Amino acid sequence: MKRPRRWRRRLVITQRTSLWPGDAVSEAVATIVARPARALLTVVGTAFGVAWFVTALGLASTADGRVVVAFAGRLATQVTVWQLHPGPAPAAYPYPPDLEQRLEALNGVVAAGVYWRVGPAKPIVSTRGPGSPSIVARPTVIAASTGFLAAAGMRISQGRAFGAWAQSRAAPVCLLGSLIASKLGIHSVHGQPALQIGGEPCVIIGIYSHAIRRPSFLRAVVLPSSAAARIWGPPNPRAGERPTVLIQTRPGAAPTVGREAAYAISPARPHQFTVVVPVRPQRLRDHVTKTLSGLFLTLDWASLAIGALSIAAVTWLCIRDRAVEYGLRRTVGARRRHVLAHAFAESAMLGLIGGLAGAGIGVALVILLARYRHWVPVIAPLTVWLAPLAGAAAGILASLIPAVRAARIQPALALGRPPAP
Amino acid sequence: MTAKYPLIELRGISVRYPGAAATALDRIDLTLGHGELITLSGPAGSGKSTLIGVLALLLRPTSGSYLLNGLDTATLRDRECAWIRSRQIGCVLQRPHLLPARSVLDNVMLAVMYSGQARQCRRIAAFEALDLVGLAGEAHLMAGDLAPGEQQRVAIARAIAAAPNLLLCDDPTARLDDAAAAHVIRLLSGLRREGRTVLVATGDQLAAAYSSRVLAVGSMRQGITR
Repeated sequence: MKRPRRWRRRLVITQRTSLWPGDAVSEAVATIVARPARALLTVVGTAFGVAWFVTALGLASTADGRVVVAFAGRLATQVTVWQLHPGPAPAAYPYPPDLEQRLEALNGVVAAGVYWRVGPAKPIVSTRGPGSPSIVARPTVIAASTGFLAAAGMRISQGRAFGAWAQSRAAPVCLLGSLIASKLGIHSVHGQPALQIGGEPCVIIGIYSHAIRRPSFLRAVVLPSSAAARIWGPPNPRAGERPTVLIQTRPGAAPTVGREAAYAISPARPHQFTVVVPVRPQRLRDHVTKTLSGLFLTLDWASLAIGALSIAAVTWLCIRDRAVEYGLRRTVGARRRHVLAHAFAESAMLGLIGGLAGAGIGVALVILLARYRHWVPVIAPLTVWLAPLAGAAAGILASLIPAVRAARIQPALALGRPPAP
Repeated sequence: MTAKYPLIELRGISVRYPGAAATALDRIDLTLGHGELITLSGPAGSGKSTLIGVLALLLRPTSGSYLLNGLDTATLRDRECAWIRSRQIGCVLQRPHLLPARSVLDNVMLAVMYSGQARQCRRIAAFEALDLVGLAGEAHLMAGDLAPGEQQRVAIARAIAAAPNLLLCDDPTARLDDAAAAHVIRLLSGLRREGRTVLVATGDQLAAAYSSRVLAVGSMRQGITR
């Protein structure tokens, strides 16, 4: 008898078993609920991985913000000007008397002033205390205009700074940097302590503890420029006494101020001055942030890999334990792709839960660490949104091999039989 | 109306497991009609479970042909075998293989999960199957909490939930006490009366009493005697 085999075959091909996505999800939930210990183990592994992922990204963003602030605050806010070719000795003082007013009139200038180092050989400075032995030192002596004190970011910790009055009368007063003050044994300006600078008496009216744009001046003695000129004469560039203009600008204004400063000082002969604007820190900053980001990104991937390995290990063990269940599912009509879907849905769900928990932990860690360091925490919202998805993706990736292994389980295993020939 | 083809037709089926010296089944010829209750008897290791595996499309024979309802199963692909297993064949195994941490209803619904039916239809089918084995009242209990006899009845409900034509039972009473075994055999007999073909591989004499035919698998795996 001839059978209509081809017709019957077509009839079978058109009918296939199927798995609703909702069933895959509900089966995954049921399995997770049925095995809470295993689920917790997987979730904890993923949560740790994702938490570190978010923490590292958050710390990278926070550190990036810190780098930007630090660069903007330190390097891009000063301009230095000096005369390019001083004339024959004795050279004329190259700057107009109203230099500070001219420069401060420029948009973007915060403060400006002139200073120079006095003498090629540092004058001997000694204390003059009644009834106590004098201490001798050779600190750097700086002649400075009033505006320089503000432009250099000097912060007076004791006493006061000299002002226009002292400048106009060439008053014999001085300021000490905190380091040289300690060296000379002067800890207070009460009682008007005085110094002998190159044989000239000078009253100490203040001690400064910071000189942000000239930190080396903490070891210097600063006099009003008029007083220095009266004692040692006008600055002699050939002797190394080069009057230099220091301009403090607002962040980002240094390049513009640098272009305009020479014209403001001498509109007739602007080219006789050298203007130095610090190299814009953009490239250096970018390099630093890129290095930081690269470092944290490497740590990110490492942490995700650890999370994925944890999922893989647990999934591997789980699938070995559930071989009979998968075989049974194959027996009742599940195809290989359905078994794959079950394994992926379960791993993705565990990864998602771990990712959500990890994202929360990561954000909390970043905020705590930033607060501890007095930084502003910076986390890209995308990071927080993507972290759970990254956890789910890590879960799927980690379960890839175990899931394929599960899909290849011979249905005969459900009968407790060896695999088919 | 009589069926055009016998439900099962085996011609010279042989099975040899990889690495095994002897064949598990050797040139088996067998024809089963619709609505029969057949007992497959034979000593342990005679190949009863292997034959069940072949009939359930879980094992591919090394040689020979297996026609199911006139369809040559050797030509079937994996997805076609899966569909036949889900709709036309029900299996009751020696162990019930239930998911112990899931409810009885979930376990039975597993059998129709891949049928493509709506969830509500599957739920109704599962309840009907449970009702048939007398466990509708225990549908929401955890499967692991049931007695062994009840677990085997749940396995039978799972096997018949998709209303298959062929029910293959591999020693379903092996782990049951006499009372539970008798209950299961009567249950299988009742299914036969509903028009299903039931093949029971067992050494239980009670099953033989309810059967329309008893087939003996030879200990030397040389064939089936009627």
